[in-house]
Amino acid sequence: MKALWSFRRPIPLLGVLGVVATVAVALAPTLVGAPVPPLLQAVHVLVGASFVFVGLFAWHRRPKNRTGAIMAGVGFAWFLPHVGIIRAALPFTIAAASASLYQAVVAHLALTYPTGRAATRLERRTIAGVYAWVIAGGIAGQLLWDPRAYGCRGCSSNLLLVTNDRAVNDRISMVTTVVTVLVVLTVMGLLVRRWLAVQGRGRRAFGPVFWVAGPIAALFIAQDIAEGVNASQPVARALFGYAPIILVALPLGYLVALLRSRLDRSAVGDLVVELEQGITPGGLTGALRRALGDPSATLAFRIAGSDRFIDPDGLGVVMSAQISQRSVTYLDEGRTTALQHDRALADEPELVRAVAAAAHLALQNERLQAEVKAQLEEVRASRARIVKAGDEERRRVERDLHDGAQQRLVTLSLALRMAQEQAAGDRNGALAATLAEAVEEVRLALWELRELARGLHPTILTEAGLGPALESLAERSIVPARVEDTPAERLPAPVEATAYFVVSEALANVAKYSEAGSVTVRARRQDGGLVVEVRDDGVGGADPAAGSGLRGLADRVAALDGMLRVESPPGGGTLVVAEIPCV
Amino acid sequence: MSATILIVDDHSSFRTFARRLLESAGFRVVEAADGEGALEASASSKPDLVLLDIQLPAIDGFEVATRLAGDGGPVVVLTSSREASDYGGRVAASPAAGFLPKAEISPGAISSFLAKAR
Repeated sequence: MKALWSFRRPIPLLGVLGVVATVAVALAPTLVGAPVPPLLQAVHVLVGASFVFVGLFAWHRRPKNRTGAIMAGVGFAWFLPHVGIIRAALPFTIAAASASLYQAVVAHLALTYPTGRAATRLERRTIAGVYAWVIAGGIAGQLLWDPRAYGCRGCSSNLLLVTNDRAVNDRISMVTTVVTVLVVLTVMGLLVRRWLAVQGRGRRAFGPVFWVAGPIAALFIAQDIAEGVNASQPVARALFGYAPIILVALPLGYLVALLRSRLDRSAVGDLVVELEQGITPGGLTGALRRALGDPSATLAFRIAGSDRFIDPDGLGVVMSAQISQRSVTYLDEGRTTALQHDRALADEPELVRAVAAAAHLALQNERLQAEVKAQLEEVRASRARIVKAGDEERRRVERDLHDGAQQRLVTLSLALRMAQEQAAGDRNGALAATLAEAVEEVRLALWELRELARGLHPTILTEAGLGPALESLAERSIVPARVEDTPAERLPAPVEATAYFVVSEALANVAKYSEAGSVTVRARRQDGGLVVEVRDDGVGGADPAAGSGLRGLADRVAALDGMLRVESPPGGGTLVVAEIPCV
Repeated sequence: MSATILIVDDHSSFRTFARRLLESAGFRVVEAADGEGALEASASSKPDLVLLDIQLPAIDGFEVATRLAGDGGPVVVLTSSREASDYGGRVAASPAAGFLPKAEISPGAISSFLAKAR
C-alpha cells in the first residue's frame, strides 16, 4: 500500500501554481491595461480560487479521495481561458478553445462526488463522453470562426482558423448548442438517479453537489444558448461574467461537509458517555449508528477459524462490499469485527477508527455475546436434528421388525397350526396339545413384538396422522380416555411424533399413579403451533421432576423450541400441556 | 366346486404356508407377490376371495382393494401382521369385506367370509 505522503506529493506545487494563477487573474486586466469592472473581476477570481484551494485542502485531508484533485482541476480549468487577456494569437486561441473545459470538469466532479470515483460504467462513459465533446467541440469550433468577422476588432487572430465561413459556422454552432443541452440534461439525469439510489449518510454526503447541480446545469444551458444565438452584450456579461458566482456553492458546500466531518467526531464523545452509562445487550449497533451518523450501519463478527460471519443476534450474515453503495471496514487488526456501512463513510476512516477505539471493549463484549448466541442456535438446531434422526431410526427399526421377525413369527404360527391340525387328524392328542401351547406362545410373542414396534414408532401415526393415532392411544388406555380435539391437517413429522409420545407417556402415568376415573386429550392448533393437553380427574400431586419419562419428553419438546408443563395440585387432577411450534 | 383363493403377499414363505394350510382344507390357491401381480391374477383366475396384504411394494393393499372391488369382483380380505387399528380408519373406509390378522388365517375364517358374501 502506498504511503499517504505519496498521494499528497503534488499538493505544494499545485498550491504555488494556484496562488500564481489567482494573483495573475486578479492583476492581469490592470497590468495589460484592459480594466474590467471590479465586481466582475472579483467573481472570476473567487470562482477559480475557491475551487483550487478548497480542492487542494480536501486533497490534503483525504489523500485517497480524488474529489479534491478534481475540484482543484475545475479551478485551474476555470483560470485557463483567462490567458486570453494577453493580446497575442496563441493565448487567444488557447482561451477560445478551452472556454468550456471547466464545465466538463464540473460534470466530472458532480458525477463522481463524493468519492471522486465513478460508481458505474455508465457514469464512467458519460464522463469520458463529456470530456471528448467539450475538447473536440472547443477545437472544432475554432476551425471556421474568425472573431473579426463577428465584429471583434480588438481580438487577436485565431491560430486554428482554416477558413472563414460564417454561414457554416453558424450552423455548426446551432448543432453544438443542441448537443450540449442534451449532454447537460444527461448528466443531470444521472445525478437524480444517484440521489434516488442513496439513503442516509450517502444522501447527506451527496447533498452539497445535488442541491446546486440544478442551478449550475441551468446556467450552463443558458450560456450555451446565449453563445449559439449571439446574445447581446449585457446578457452575455450577466451569464458569463456574474452568474458563475453560483459555482462557488460547490467548493463551499464541500468545505462545510469536510468541516462537519470534524464535528462528527464529537459524536465519539457522546458514544463514550453512552457506553459508560451501559447499553442494553444488542444495543451497541444503535449506539454506533448514532455515532457514525449512518442509520444503515451493521455489525458482524467472524466465527473463529472460519470465513463465516454472524450478526449480534448470532445469525449468519453475508459480508460483501459488492453491495451497491455499501462498504465494509474491519474494526480490528485480526479482522474479526466488521462494520458494513454506507460507502460515504469510507472517506472518513479517522471517524470509523475513533468510533472503533471508543467502543473497543463493548465490541469485544458484543462479539462474545454474538458467539454465545450462535452457539446456542447451533445447539438448538443440533438438538432438533438429533430428535429427527432418532425418529427416523425408530421408524426404520419398526419397519425392520415388521418385515423380519414379525413375518417369520406369522409364518411359524401358520406352520404350527397346520401341524396342530395334522396331529389332531392323526389322533395324536399329546402332540396336538403341545402344538396348541406352541401356537399360543407364538401368538403372545407376536403381540409383544407388535407392542414393542408400536412403542418405537406407531404405524398409525405415519399412515393416518395425529388424530387417528391419538384415538388409537385413547382406545388402548386403561383409564377411560376421550379425545376431544385434533388437528384436521397433517403436521411436520417431528411435531406429530412428539405430540404422540407426550400423550402416550401422560396416559401411561394416568394409569399408573392418578387413580383417575377419566382422562381427556386435546390437540389443537394455536398461534402457528400445536398445543397438546392431557387432563385427568385423579388425585393430582404429581411431581414432574420425578421419573425420567416426562423429563425426557420435556427435553424432546424443548428440542423443537416448545415447552412442557405439568399442573398437578393435590386432589385437583393433573394437567400435562405441551406447546410445540410447527416450524 | 372348491373356492379359489388368491393370496397376495410379498413374503414367499408366508405364501407357501398359507397355500398349504388352505389347500389342505380343499381350497384352490393362486399367488401374487405384489399389487400389479394381484390385478393380473385376479383377472385370469377369477378368485372367489383375495387375501390381500396391506403393506405391498409399489401399490399398497388399500389401492389394490379399491381396484379389485366392484360388482362381480372377488371378496377382498385385507391382511397384515399388524392390527387393523394400526391403520386408523383406513381399513374400515376401504371397500374390503374385512380384515384378518395374518397369524389368524385359517380355513374356517376363510369359509366364514365366503359364507357372509353369499
